[in-house]
Amino acid sequence: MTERRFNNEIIPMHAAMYREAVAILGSADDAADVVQDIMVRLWNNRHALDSVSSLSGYAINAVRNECVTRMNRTQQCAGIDSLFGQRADDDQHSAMERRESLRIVTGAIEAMPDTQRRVMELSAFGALSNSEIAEATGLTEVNVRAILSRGRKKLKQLLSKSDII
Amino acid sequence: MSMTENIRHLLDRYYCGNASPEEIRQIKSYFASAADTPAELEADRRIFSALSGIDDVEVPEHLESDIRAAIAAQSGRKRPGVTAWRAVVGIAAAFVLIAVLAVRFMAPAADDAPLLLAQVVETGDTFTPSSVSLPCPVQQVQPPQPVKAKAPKRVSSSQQAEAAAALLEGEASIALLFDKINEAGRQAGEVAAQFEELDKSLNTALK
Repeated sequence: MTERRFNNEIIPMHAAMYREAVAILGSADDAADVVQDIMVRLWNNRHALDSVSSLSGYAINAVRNECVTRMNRTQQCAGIDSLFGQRADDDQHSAMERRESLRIVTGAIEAMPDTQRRVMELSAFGALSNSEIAEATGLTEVNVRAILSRGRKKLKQLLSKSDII
Repeated sequence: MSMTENIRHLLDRYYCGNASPEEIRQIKSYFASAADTPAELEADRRIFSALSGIDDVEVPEHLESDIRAAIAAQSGRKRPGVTAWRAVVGIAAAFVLIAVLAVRFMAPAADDAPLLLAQVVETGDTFTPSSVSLPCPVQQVQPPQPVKAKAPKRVSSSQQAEAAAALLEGEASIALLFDKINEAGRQAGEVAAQFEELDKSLNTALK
């Protein structure tokens, strides 16, 4: 892949890659590190990229794998609510409702037992598949599926009960 | 299957822990765009509304430039090192000296050497002997007249004086020659220093 093509096609992917990394790691700084590392790696291997059919899928997968590797090492997952901005097109009502829903969801997750909390955090933004969550936590996929099922049903229960504005 | 039925199916998978990232994206997208959600999906909508916040995460402005800087550092653009410039200028200086010596032995006029040096530096193609021209700018080159020992039957005093004068002149020419060689060497050294400076500043600019 030429430098020009790399600039035009790969560099612009950094935004999606960053959001994916934030969704998994929960930390803006760590996410930026990961994206930078992956981009350098992609640059070094740019001549092999010509044979890749889906460049965005390839890049996102690379980010995911790196995030999972780092999580295995650090065993941490930052709070999921600290990074959200407000949608530009949110009216006040929607914004309040969203903040309230988020508060209930994060509160519920934080109150869960450790293993369940970790699995729920990793799955929260739909960035990781069950097998990737299993790899990150050391659990089996069957286990992950069962934990997610219980956790998500619990969330639905809470959000059905509460009278959100 | 209608859109709502499809979403219900995906939601079932979600609550069983079976939904893939792609299926979750579809559910999110549905709730983000649907104007009115059926009442029974209201709680689900809230869950996905809360979790969709990640889509709005702002990408730091400096991230792209940081990436480009990391890649540039990785590439480590290659350029001639200081050593290479020294070698090049050293070779040039050597050829200049050869040219000066050659001219000196072919054209006794002391003014030729600086002109030759100027021409050699200007033309740029000085790195091969064949490209060094030996100019005879204006005057005809007179080969040095060897001080032949004439074989007079008798050496008169005036002839002796002439010979002595010729010797002195020869010595003076040689001294001048060495001056010119030194001058050429000095100028070559200056050029080398200038190339070093240029190289340094280019390296600094690229950091």
